[in-house]
Amino acid sequence: MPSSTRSIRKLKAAPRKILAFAASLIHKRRYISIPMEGIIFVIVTLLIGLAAMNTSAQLLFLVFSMMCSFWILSALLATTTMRGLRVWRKSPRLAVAGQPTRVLLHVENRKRLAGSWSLRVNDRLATGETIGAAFFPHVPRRGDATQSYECIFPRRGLQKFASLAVATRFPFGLIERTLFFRDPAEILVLPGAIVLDDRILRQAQTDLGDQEVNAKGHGAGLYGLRRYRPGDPSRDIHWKVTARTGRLTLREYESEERRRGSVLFDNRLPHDANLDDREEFEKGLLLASSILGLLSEIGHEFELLTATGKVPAGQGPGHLTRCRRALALLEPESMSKPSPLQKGPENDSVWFWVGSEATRSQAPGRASVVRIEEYEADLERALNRSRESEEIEAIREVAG
Amino acid sequence: MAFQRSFFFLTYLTAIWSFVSLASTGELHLWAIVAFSLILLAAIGRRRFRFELPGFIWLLITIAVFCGALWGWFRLGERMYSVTYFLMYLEANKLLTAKSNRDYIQIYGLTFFQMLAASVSTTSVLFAPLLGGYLLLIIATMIAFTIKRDAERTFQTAKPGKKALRRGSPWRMMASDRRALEEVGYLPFLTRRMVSRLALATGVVVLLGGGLFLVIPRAARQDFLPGLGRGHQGPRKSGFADHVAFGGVGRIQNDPTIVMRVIPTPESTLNRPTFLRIRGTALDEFTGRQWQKSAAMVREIKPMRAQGAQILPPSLLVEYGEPFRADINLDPERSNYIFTVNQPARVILDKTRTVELDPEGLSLKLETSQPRYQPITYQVEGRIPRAEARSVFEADPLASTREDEDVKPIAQASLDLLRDVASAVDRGITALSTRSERNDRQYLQTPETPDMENIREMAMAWTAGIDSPRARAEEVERRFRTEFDYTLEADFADRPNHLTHFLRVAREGHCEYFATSMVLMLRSLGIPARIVNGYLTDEWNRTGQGYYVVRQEHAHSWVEVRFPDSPVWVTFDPTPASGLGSNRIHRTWFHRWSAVADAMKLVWYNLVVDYDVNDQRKGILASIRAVARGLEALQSGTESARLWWESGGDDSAGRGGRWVLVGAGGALTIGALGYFVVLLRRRRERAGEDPEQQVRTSREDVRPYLDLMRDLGEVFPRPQGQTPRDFARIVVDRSGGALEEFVPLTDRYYTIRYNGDRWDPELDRRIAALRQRLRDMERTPASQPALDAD
Repeated sequence: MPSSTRSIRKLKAAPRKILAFAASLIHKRRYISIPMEGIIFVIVTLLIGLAAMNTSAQLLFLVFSMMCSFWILSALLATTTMRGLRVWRKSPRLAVAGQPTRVLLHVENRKRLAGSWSLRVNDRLATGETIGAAFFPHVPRRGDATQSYECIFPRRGLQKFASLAVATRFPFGLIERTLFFRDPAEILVLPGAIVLDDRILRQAQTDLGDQEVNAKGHGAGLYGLRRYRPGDPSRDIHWKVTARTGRLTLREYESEERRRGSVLFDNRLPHDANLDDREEFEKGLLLASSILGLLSEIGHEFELLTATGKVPAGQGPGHLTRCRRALALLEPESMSKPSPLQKGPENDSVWFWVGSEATRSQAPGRASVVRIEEYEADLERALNRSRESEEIEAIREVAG
Repeated sequence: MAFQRSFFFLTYLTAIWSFVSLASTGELHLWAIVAFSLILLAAIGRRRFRFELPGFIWLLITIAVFCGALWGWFRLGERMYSVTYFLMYLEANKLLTAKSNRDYIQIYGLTFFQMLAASVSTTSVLFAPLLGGYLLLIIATMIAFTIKRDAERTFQTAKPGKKALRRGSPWRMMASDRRALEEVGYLPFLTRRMVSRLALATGVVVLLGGGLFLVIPRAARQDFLPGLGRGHQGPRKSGFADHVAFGGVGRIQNDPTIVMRVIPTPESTLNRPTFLRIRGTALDEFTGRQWQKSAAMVREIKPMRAQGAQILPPSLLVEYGEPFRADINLDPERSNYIFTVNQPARVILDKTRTVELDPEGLSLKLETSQPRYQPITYQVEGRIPRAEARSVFEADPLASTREDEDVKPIAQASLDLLRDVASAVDRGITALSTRSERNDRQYLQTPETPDMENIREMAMAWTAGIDSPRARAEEVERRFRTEFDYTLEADFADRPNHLTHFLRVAREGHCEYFATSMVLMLRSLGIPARIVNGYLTDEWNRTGQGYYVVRQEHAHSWVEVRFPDSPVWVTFDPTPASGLGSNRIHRTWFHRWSAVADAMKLVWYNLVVDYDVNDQRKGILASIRAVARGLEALQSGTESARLWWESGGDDSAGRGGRWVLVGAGGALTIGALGYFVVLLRRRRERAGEDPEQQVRTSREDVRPYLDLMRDLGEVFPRPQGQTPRDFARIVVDRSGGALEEFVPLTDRYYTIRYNGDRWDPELDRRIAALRQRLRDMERTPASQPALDAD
């Protein structure tokens, strides 16, 4: 290619390169902002400079110089503070809607000489919202620090963390410097539950019988012994065996009944569903989750059937989590989908039908239809977080 | 000190400091100082006594004060007072009502404006330490405030709206955040290490600010609000003007205030005179009560550029005595006179100002009707008496007694010698007159007062039998010096024939009486004469390079006489020697310290207050010269070392080469040692031996606690993400309080892990005790209920 052609191409590319360079500058500027105090300080600095020139008072020049040096020191320290930082998050994989979840934030300062001061770490979701923040007054050189924040997810579903924004206005609050650390993570928010009483079981004409079966449960008879695992109730520790073996040993009890509960949640919605229908859908899902919780609490086996799929029968907190995981990700289906009944609930179990009013007519006759309207107030409160708000207000009053 | 306390401590201290700085300028009324001090006390006490005024009362007060400030600005013309007092009121208001962060920012801003007001109200060197202290305090305060506000911003509760809640937007709880915020309040802040860091930051600001101050381009417009930059009281009055009321110079001779400092250049310092005569202006017309410039003299005055003002053209300079150059640092005065030496040749003013040159009176004056509120420094070139005249005075017998006595009037025994000295010093100093023929009449003018007849009679009597004008003048001067006494207590200036009273009755007075009487006597004898007002100083401050100190008490009047056979003005000084120079000699430590303080003030003036573009240019040139000299020295040193080495150690071959090599070797050794220390330190840091490093947070530092927490976690399940503090509370609850010790232990863990505290061996013992208690609980059946409390 002749050199003249290359030169022309370079010339043509020059504006684009200049624009790209300008764009990179603008992009970088996003990381340094001047807060209102800084702007006021700039204006005052300029006024002092003008006054110094106007009056030729050298002491004003001196004050003006000191103010300029504040800027220089501010920029230097802000840059130094942010250099060599590493930030990451430690979050649980599961959370429960409406219940506080604690997320840990770690900051490591890898600088050899300088510590970092007054760091604000904002945790941001993929939607751009700031979910929580932690404050690190001081991270010493070659040291690290950990802080945590609590947040509440009011709704079920998958929440995606995107990045951590570390910001500081150290030392004088004239410049805010921000760094972004990509740290993608996911947290699955399980649906919460409302408090249900035995009425729902009585409606289903269930019998809380005392028939013991050869299965683990919450009966009175000893089923076996095993090593203690974190999360096990401490009241079940077999102290004598523990003392003899030197290892924490847990008692396991037989199940006293083997009643099964099948929760059939009809998650079908008509095409023309409006916001209220969606709200009702969420209430139904919350109710289903609450029934599952109740069944788990009284030691029943339970299964979950929806128009989307089925979680086979099981028992215990682990199985409850499995069912709620499914509920957390459940989306409404069209009315053309087969009803949960088609997924084949266990015949010897008690069926609980939860669904919208439109699909209630399709409930089988043997199923106990749990009406959303009966628990409307509780469900409404749980979804709108009013109860937690009251609790938090109470906590706030106590705390401050 | 804990963070929260430190914050309030620093805030109030900053407010107090800035107020003290403003009050130290002496420009505040006493009632304002008292009132603001009481408000500061009330503001500090407010936190304890919860004193509050309703908001509408504050509003009413604010409106009233604002109206008062407007009244002061427009009606009284007291702009500076109006602005300063209004700002002080705002600060008082904020100090008494501060709640939010915005209030605190406003307080800091107002303290800054107080410092600003102080900076334009004073040129005192005292402002330097006050500014330094303010910098330290404001840096500490701003850092504390930034941390406080960042912490609060972090812990603000997010409150999403209903729509956001429907979307499932997360939100944060308040209780744990509030706890975290309170923990920030208890962090140690004003520790020794922190204070040293703050001092370092202040040093950096001072260095950076100083550097910027030296290089920021100087410009002066003075177009906007020229009156705003002046002090409230203005500069002091001076006795020097075109019209000097009789007795004016005598009055200011009781004032020890420093007027100017005369810093001879190094070559002039070697031959400096013991007495230095500073020329103000010559006045030729006497009305009987006032000396003034005649119309003929005023007509000769012409404006000219101050930069290098040539007072006398080189052709008219009298080649007498020795050349003398000095920088004069002139304090603010109402007078605009530029003081020079008695035979001035040239004045170099750094400012691009216009001056008025009086070629007849050999004086310079700034061409402005405004009083001068800033000190100025300029250079004067002229001539001083010959060396032999000074050598007489340097044999001063008083020199031996001065060291022994704190305050000593000049001894009568030395008067004769001083008379001779004063005569010898001045007699030769002359200045050419450019208008000798035309203006004889103006220098023979006498007032039509009853005094003149007596004066003429006395002049005739004193000079009877003397024909030569010079001899007559010398006789008159001798008579005054020997037959009259000097006193500042002359209180007959109001008498109608005060000069007659002086000559015939009192026979004592101050320099104005002597000079005026001599001028009138000579004029009555037909000899042209005039009076010159200025200073005569003998006070030498030995600090540093050394300089003459000129005080108000050195104000002096003397006489210039022109003889028919000479075109020059000859200086005569009829004042008795006891009235010359300082009449008190101070040797106390306080006065020595005063001399040092005054030298510091001079440095402050030169480097800060009067630092201008010319000084910038000189500084840059000096830096370039210094670098060039350094490079030259390096080159020659290298060459010498090479020659010395090649000649096998012959000192004559490479002069100083041996020492260059020794120095280079020493520098290399020190560098290598330093590098070795750095390496050693790094290695120790890596090995964890460095005690500095041991306080850094590392999981290994708190390993015993972490092990304990792991063991407790086996008994009391600890969910993922639970903080140690939450876990500790659960452990205590579920153990029924049996493991209560775990909570303070956890607090210590936090301070060690995150606040840089050291691990205490005592903690090992506490952890061992706790572990033992846990084991007991696991083994003892009685402990089962406690663990089953869940």
